[in-house]
Amino acid sequence: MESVESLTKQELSKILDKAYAGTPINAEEAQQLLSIDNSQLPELLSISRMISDKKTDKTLIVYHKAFQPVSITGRSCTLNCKHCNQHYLRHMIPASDPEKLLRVCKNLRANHAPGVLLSGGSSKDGTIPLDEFADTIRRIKKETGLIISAHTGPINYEKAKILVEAGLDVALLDVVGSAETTRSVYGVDIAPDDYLKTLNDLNTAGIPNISPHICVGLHFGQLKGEAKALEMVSHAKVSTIAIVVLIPTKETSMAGILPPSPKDVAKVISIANLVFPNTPVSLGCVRPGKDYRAKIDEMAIKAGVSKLAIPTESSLECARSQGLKIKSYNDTMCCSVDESQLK
Amino acid sequence: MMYMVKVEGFKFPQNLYYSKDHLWIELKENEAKVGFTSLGEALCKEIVHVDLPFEGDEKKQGDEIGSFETIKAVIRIHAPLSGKVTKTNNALYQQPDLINEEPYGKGWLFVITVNEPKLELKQLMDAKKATKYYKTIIDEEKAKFGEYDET
Repeated sequence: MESVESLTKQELSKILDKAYAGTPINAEEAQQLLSIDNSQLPELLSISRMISDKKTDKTLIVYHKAFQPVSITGRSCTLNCKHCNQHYLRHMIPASDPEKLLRVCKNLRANHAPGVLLSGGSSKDGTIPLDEFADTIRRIKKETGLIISAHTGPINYEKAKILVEAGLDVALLDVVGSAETTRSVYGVDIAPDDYLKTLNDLNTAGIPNISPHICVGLHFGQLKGEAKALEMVSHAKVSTIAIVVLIPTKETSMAGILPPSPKDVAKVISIANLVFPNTPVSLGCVRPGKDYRAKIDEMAIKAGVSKLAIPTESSLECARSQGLKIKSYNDTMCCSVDESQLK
Repeated sequence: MMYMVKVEGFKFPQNLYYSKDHLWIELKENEAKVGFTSLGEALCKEIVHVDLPFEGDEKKQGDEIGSFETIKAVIRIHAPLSGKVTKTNNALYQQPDLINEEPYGKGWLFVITVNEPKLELKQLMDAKKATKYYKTIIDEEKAKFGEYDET
């Protein structure tokens, strides 16, 4: 983590008072909050929880089943990133052929799925070649009416416009706040400003819902660019900020590392609430398992997450004990979809 | 030696009973050891977290008794027989992927001391019936999404 002097009690109170009054904190303050020690964490969590209660009316939305992910590149990816090494392509239905993609989506519709997640392996520039499937996306939208959500990668305005015209409903963009992280983990040179440019291009192109994802601990389990990523996102108009957590995945070079601590995850969620006092902050479906998952989930509730994907039982108990109402999507739904997009 | 019935590469030991939600049940007198079938775990893909019942919990057949989390879904499991939970596989809290790796071995879930095994067994399937039922599940999955082996 970048070296930042820790805050005094007075400095911390000043930032938290400002946030509670409704003024979003700035980039420097976000970075300072990331460096607070554990003794100061309860105060941060408490204010974040209160800000969340105001924006959610003390309601936690939980999602029990995510949209079916479909890979438009089949099992192939050019990048072989250090945290994934193509592993998560195995969780997707491969459909690199437009006709098969359409057939898979029609079958999802026939089985009452409300939406689909288009994903896949990346090209050398970190994007997913969705624009090559624009005609198919148009047909999927017209013939199935599915909510179409997609991982885009850092695309430009022209490609964003093609996707808007095809009918893309939700753009999911992983935002990384450290060029060193994109270089060392993805193996590509993408600067934080490039993500901001993509967010702005997606906005200008008119994507109805932009939901950036920030992966806590992507830098080999350490906090590095998370505050910067939040700053980039704060300059754009977004629907939901999804926080996900690095999974040290088997058969990757990160298999043996420790994931970020639940307290670090809670810090990032809290800071996201302070930067975005009016936008939902979600704990997305990608996060580590085992008993660690239950700890992350409970800390996320305490930190005031607005939405929680694939919740553990103990997290639901924790939410109830905090006096939260729980609204559950028991059937397929993605935590990034805005309720206004549901028909 | 355990005799297995194979359906499209998925194994189903012949000596077990099965539920429609992919649980296997090994019944020895009034003790039922319960686990998740090889087909069930394959459909789930990677299981990353489990919520098991507590030892001493009393459950009726069909009651929710626990859940798994995969990356993309919460999967609820239901008591295949009525009775008292007498043992849980606590190793799964640290190694939930044992369910994927050894569904009929170290990946077992819990043991129930059952009340009315003979009466409630009618709701379960023997290996022959189960394989016929699971074949329809496999065929439905294929019909939904086509072959999965695209490279």
